[in-house]
Amino acid sequence: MIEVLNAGLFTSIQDSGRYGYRRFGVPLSGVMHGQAAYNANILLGNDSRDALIEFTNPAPVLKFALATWIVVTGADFRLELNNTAISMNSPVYVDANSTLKIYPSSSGVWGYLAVKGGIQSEKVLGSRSYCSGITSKYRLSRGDELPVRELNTTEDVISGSVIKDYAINRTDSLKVYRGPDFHLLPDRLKSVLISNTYRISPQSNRMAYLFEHELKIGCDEIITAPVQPGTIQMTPSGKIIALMRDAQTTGGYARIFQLPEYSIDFLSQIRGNNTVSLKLISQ
Amino acid sequence: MSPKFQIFGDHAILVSWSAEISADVHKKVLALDSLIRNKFHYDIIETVISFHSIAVYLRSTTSTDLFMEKISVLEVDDWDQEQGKTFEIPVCYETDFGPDLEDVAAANNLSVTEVIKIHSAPVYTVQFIGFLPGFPYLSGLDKRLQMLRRPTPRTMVQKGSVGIGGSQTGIYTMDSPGGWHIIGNCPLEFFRPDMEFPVLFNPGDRIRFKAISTDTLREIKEQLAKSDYELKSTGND
Repeated sequence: MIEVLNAGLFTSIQDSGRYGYRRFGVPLSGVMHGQAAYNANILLGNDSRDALIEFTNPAPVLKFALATWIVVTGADFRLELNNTAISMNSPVYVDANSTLKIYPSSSGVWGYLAVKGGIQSEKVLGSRSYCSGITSKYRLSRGDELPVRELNTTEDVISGSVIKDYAINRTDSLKVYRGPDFHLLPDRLKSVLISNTYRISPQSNRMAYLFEHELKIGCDEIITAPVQPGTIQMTPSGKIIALMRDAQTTGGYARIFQLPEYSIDFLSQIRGNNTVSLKLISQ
Repeated sequence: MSPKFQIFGDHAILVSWSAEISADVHKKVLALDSLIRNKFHYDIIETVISFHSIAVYLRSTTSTDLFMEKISVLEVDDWDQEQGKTFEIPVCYETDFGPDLEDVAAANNLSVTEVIKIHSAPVYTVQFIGFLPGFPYLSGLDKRLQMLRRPTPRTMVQKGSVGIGGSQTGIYTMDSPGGWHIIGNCPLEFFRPDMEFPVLFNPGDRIRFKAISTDTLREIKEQLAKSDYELKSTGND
């Protein structure tokens, strides 16, 4: 069992997503930075879809009742296990009754804590991912107790290895595909949108990241159509909205771009008030 | 009318007919969606439909290009309109539950009584579920009741609220911000995450609204709490 001593700002349990219910309006949810979560699970020999703890700044303080193995991946967080510094991106053995403190990262947004065997919390509609309106909680609170597996001493041996999480190179631009409604835009507007630099709004969250700009633009609403994480919409008043993991399943705003999966990961780690430029690529 | 097929992100195909809200287009959507889900069960994870589109979300092992080719040459039977059930949905059209009833009446030169009569007369069709878990997009709203969305959405619309937005009517299946005009409340649970089939309606199902009193609303809520309420429906399973 893992006890939440301090929940942090927005800490939740996420797995690889709630598949099979999107036709009922149920969001996909799941980890924001897929590759980071995948790496954490793989390093421990977990199923890649196992649930883990997703956190941001300020991060949680957790107490491990039982011995286990953990890995922390994602943005650059400073870690202390029982007041001793430990590394990110590699498996660490945790004795029973240990406390993990996670200190703020200087860049990036999301971190991932995986435990051997995955977090064994309740599944709702086939997934352990927290989502407002679907699961009873949408984030962890102080005092929560998260179920985990006991270690199997013969099978659960990890030979230490390190995965270097791909560095988030902030001079990279965000690669985007044309969205299904891109062709509806006038050519001049297309060029303006692609060449502009946007500021990520600090109001961004798991549902959507908002791209702030000074452009005087806008386009008509569309008849409600399917959308998915990575769909970038433009509203009649010119708001640009990049839908993320907790997004609705359908929407009435023009879908001007679509992010490839690695771009959703990349975007997820761009902090509020930082800027991003776009690069249009073909599928 | 043939739809357009395109790749949608890394692992999905989008099928779209012409962008209109029409029964003919919707039947095409339902027919192809049903065929894809039955025939390509191993290639796909799930589909999402809307008025004129289908998003087919593919398994990561499925080739997007090959799958798009396969479905673009399918022969699709006409959608059997007799499929689907017709549900009777109780709605309390009192101003306590429908704060915008008088506005809707005034904007359309009708009395509140007429609004209620016109709203509860038709058989509506569930076009698809979207916006919120279990939220049914319904077609069939009488033109006399159409209303542009509120210029400022409410930060909180109560669960069960029956609303009008543009040419659409629908039911808020949970507390949510919303910009529709609220004319009544329905006590039923439209979304049950504890059930394997978590929603009340399938696309293609039909709904009639039945006006009930505040007393009946309370009674139904009590029956629901005791799992004693039976939703009336006619038609096939």
